[in-house]
Amino acid sequence: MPTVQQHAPDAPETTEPGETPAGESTPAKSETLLRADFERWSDSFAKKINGELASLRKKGSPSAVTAAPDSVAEPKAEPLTVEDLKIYREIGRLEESVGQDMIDGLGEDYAGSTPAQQILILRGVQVGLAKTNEGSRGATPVVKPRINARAEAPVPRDTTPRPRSQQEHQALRSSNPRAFKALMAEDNYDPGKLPWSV
Amino acid sequence: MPDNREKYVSDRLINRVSVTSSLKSLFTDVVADGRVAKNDSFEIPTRSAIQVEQVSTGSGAATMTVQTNTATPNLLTVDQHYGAVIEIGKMNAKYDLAGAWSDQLGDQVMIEIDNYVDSDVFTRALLYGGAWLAGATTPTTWVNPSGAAVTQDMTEQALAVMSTQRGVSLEGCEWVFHPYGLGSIRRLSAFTPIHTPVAAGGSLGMRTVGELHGLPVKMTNAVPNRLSIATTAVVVSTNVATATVAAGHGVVAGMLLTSTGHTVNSSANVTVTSTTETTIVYPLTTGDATLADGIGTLTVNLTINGLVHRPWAFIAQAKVPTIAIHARTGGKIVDELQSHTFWGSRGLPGAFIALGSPRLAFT
Repeated sequence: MPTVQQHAPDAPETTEPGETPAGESTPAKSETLLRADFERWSDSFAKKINGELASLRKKGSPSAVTAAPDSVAEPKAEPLTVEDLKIYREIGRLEESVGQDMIDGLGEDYAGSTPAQQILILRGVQVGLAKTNEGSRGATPVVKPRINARAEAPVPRDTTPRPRSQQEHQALRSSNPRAFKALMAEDNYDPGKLPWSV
Repeated sequence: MPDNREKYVSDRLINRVSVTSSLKSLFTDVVADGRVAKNDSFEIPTRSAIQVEQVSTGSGAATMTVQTNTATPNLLTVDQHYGAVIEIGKMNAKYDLAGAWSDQLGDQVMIEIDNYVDSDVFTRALLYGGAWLAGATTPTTWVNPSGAAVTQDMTEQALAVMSTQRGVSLEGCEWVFHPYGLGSIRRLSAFTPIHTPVAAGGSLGMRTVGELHGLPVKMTNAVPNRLSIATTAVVVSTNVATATVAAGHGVVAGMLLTSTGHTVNSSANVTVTSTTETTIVYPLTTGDATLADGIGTLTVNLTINGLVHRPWAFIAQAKVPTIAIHARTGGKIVDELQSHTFWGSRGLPGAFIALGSPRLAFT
């Protein structure tokens, strides 16, 4: 049976306690404090920026802003500017305003656009919605996005209560109209086959 | 995979059944899950009196006798099965299945089948099972069988007769009136109307229209305003005719009737003198004879309202009619929708105190 020879890992360069690494001078105590403060600030800033970037990545890759359409090379990540942040915030605000259903309906035309084009598209949709509302409900003002407003979350199929009886079917009609409608659209669901109660 | 039209009509029916009040909804349903099949039978309570006797006296124990309190099965059988076949147009996928089409068709099915069931349970369970006491020589559960104008004494009497029965709970009692019967009692001081009657099911169903002597008054056109009884033979003796009829006729002494289809008929109202399970006796001026064509019809023109004691009226039913859609063959451009339902009903003796009122008139 062949054996595998185990190599000891390369020993790391160690420094004796109290010994200063070569090329470095011992900092003064006040400098150490300043450095610690800076590192704390730096950590918190990094977290903040990373949080911003994470939310922005959900909207699309920042590199798409500057990448050439026919570029095949890996786009080089560039640091975000304040203007970039403003653009993405505006996109987020407009998307919340028009709603996820509308965005889904825009399809590839929207998803494949540059952020600047996306803003134009969303503003157009917003104006269209406002006109529709005005036509159907009279003098309804332009819909302004609510602060922290979120589009109504889709009902996950797994958590949709599935009635076991006609009484539960009837109860679902008023308690959860969206789930009720989705259920009725299912091909294999027929309330007529359920018992009256369980 | 169900036909989409089936499930949307079923959905409408479930909704209507859930929110609609009908005469049969006054009954105690013995099938909780609504699953019944034809000829299913269910045991329901009896009202036979239990013999109670003295157990002991001051001087010592007395001997108790085992009385005839033997258990007698009282069965309710699902013996009614009715339905309808409706021709429907083929529809393309753009049709709004969840909207007007399924709603209207569901409502039509509901109205017709409900009306049929209500009329049946009224006659079978209330009129015959609840008010017509087999073998009774006097109509103890009937008030105003002649259909004279309703007075407050009559409504008081109906309530008193109902309340006199042991075991009656007034909170389980409700009046049911035909629209014309309701017109007869509106003028009574004991009647308190609800000026904006509301039926929970919208335009369908039975409405609560007021209170009479503090008990709810429901209005429904399932209340009959005419009884038609087929005869198989008529024998006349000393100007009294005895007609042989099927059991379950519901006629009591004091009702007014006319006869048709016989060799000698009574075209004017005559008063029924007595009845048995299968005979109705009434005056008929003619010679003694067996009428050659005993096959004819006796007609009682009378509105039969009354007071229901709900705990003594039972029903076993499929709650929601079954819906099935089949494609017509042979190049037809229509499909057909079949709808049917099962039920059976029984009323215990005394479950209904009948109150007559004029037919299609108020006084």
